[in-house]
Amino acid sequence: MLRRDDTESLLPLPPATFHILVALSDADRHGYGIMQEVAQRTSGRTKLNPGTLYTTIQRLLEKGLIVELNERRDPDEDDERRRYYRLTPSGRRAAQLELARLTELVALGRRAGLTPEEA
Amino acid sequence: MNARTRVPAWADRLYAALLRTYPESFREEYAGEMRAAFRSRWREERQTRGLLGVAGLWLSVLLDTLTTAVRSQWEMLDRDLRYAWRSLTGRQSWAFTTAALLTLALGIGAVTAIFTFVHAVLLAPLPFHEPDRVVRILDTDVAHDIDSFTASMPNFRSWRQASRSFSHLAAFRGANSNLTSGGQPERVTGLDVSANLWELLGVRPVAGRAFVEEDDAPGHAPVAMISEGLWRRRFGGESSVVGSTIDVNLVPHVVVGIAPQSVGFTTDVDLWRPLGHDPELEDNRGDHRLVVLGRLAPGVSVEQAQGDLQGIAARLAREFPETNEGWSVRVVSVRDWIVTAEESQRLHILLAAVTLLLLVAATNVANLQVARATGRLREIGVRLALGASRARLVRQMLTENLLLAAAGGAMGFGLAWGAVRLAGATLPDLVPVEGALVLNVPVLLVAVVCIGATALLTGLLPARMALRYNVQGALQQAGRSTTGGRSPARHVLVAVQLALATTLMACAALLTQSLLRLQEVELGFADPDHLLTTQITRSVTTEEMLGPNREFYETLVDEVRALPGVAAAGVSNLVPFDGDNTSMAVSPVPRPEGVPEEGVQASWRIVTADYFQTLQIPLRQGRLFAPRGEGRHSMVLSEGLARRLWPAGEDPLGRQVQLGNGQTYDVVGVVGDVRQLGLRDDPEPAMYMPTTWYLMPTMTLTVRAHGEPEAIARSVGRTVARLDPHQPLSEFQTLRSAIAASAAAPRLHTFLLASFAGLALLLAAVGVAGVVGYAVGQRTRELAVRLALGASPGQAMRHVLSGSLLTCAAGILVGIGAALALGRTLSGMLYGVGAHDPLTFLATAAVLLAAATIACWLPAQRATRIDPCVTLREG
Repeated sequence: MLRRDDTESLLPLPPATFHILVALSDADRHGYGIMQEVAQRTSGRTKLNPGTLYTTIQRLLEKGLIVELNERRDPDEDDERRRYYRLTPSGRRAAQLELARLTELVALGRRAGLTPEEA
Repeated sequence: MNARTRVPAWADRLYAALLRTYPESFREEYAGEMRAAFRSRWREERQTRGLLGVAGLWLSVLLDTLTTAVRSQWEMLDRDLRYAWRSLTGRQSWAFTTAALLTLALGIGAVTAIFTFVHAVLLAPLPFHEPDRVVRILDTDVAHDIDSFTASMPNFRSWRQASRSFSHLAAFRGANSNLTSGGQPERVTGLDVSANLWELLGVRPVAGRAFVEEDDAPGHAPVAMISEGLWRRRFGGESSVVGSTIDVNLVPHVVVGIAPQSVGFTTDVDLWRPLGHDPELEDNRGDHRLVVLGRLAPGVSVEQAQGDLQGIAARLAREFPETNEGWSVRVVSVRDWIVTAEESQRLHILLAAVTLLLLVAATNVANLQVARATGRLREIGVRLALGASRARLVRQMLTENLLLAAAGGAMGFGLAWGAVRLAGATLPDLVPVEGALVLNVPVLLVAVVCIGATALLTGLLPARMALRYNVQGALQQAGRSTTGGRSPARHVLVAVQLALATTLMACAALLTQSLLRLQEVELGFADPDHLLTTQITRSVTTEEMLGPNREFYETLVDEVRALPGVAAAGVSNLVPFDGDNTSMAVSPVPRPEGVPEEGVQASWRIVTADYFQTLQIPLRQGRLFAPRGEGRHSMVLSEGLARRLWPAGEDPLGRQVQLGNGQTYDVVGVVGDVRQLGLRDDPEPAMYMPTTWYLMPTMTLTVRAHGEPEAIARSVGRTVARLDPHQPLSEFQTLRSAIAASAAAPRLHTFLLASFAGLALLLAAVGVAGVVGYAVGQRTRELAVRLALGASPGQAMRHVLSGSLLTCAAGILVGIGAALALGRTLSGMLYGVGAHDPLTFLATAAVLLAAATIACWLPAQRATRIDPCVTLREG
């Protein structure tokens, strides 16, 4: 488990990492489930590739931001057994800190009058 | 997603192949799910966007895999390196790490240093333009067993005219000279060269110009080039020297250019002059004095060039049978001329020896690692239990060994750098090409290969051991075991080590013996420590000057003999071990049975009467030359030559002999045989002529001193200056130092080989002791049981010893066998000892066995100190 300072040291999070943490924020998911969730949340604009997904999952596991749950059958793909991942409190905090950082950036931009014009 | 689109098998397989770029442990963990995810994505893209979607998927997956795999591999390496660092620098590892580092540093350092020499001597490009096209042309006379000789000027001219195989043919000869302008008279090493030599070599002057054809033309004003060294030393490196006039042998010469000090085949020459038209050289085809070099014409091979020249030589032999009969030529690459076959062989042997040493060192470290792996079985078991894959463990062990080998290699490279610097500073003549003795890219590559090979050698065996066990087995083995320590791998390693060390020892013993025997050979003259020599080149050596020059030498000898501390003094054209030789055919008149028609080749030497007394060459028969006014046609023969000329044993005194040039001589005396060329060469048949016959431009004054050599050198110098203020002398040296110099390279090589063998023996002994000590530690419990059951401490120790000693003996036997097999390679380099000398081999085996026994016995003693009560209670 990471302490608060350690979590801060992870910032800024790479976009793929942030997406995965967000995808796990409301439910436990397996790898492919994360891919689908990210695609859905970004309206298909961000599609994680398996290489990025699983090397990031490995790093998040090592840092204790997510944990692995026991293998279960995937309700959609009932012939495959898949591992599920769950966000840890550290993971949640990391995502929150990243969100705060991004919000601050957005505010900074807005204050400078850089609001994008309505498309 | 119910309507299934099938993912084609090739796509699945291709993706699986892509996944192989990830570290194995990552693949074991995630490959299955990644393939499943890929298949899902594939189906999704196929259904929603068709083939275009699939193509896009492949492109993004390919990029993604490559970037994440590289990162993954790097992170893994980083983790493994950190782990290896912790493991190697831990408190319980420092002894192992230090021992392993030192061992590897020695092994890799030795290979690197020796390879630097091998590279500099045998592989570094010679400083010529296209050095592979440059050849040396050697005269040969098979009937007289002459395979490397110089050429005569008329023959050289004929070759140049008739041969089509060379773009250039150039010749040169030694012409040491006296420089008398611009300071003290100085004797300089010189070469007279045909003008095209510079163009042939493709070597450019440092300043000014090289010779051109006109410089060689008859009647041309004398010109010279001086070396960069002489230019800086004597003329302060002034650019105005080019174009100025210097006195060479009292004759003004215009300096046209400054030659580089190193021209590939020599670094000694300070003065270069055009060969020109020396009437002395012009006509006699039998007067072999020129070194001939050639540059092969485009597309012509060495063999073709040799065939061409041999055809010309055969024609010349028919046209000029009295001088050219039996003579032919041989064409060799210029490197084979600069580096003799023997020297090249010695270097190869040395390289093989250090490679063996590195193998011993690597085996030693492998052995230590196996011991460590056995000790780390618990750790390995725990890690396997925690889910680490075997591949991961192997990779980690290999990384650890790579780190170890790289650190050892870096230290070794440092050692090699120091050794090479030291050798380059103390033995500048070791390498023919100036500046080639450096640690360069090829050397670095060899060091890197050594490091990689060592890491593999030292890492694979312990890794294999770790893989032998499953989780349970490893944890069990890590506990106290009654059978642990009997690791066959370690015994094999010990045997291999001893075999390698034995082979090295046997070879070193043979070469050392050969060297010792050489020190004891009969020289044919007495006490070289007190014989001082100096070379004197007379500036003017024309026919008219023969009388005055002879007078100069006779007076010089008289005056030097009268100096305090001088026992005797004499003058000769050559002295033993000065590296030069002369040869001429001689036959008795009339010719007895058994003497070949063309006579016997013998070395000829011009000597003053006192030369024999000075060197203490014994008179066997007749008389020596008279101090003054000896008849021009008197000759003294060496015993060996007299025996060859009159094989039936007739008395040679008063008989006549005829030289190849037609002159006849009366034999007035016979003296003992003298070793003239080298310790390993048999004494040359020699004929001695008086100075009344002829004088060479350069003669050597030999002084037998009973006082301090330096004081005598000074007083001789003063005597010469009084007789002729323009006459310089070469450096004085003792004949002992000349003899030592003639064997310097073999001595150095033998010393190195013996050092490597000693190191190998030491490493092997340490390896043996380590294995036995470890075995005792592992088998403490078993030995305690034996002791408790009534075995005596001695029996317990013998029990430990017997197995180890058998292993050692087997290794030594294999090593002796290998050395016997290698004997043939060595035989050409041995003197006075056979390549299969039984005594040497027995002694080597005995020494190795004694060392192995001590190495076994010391740690085995611990077996006698085991207290069964304590041990078994603890167990």
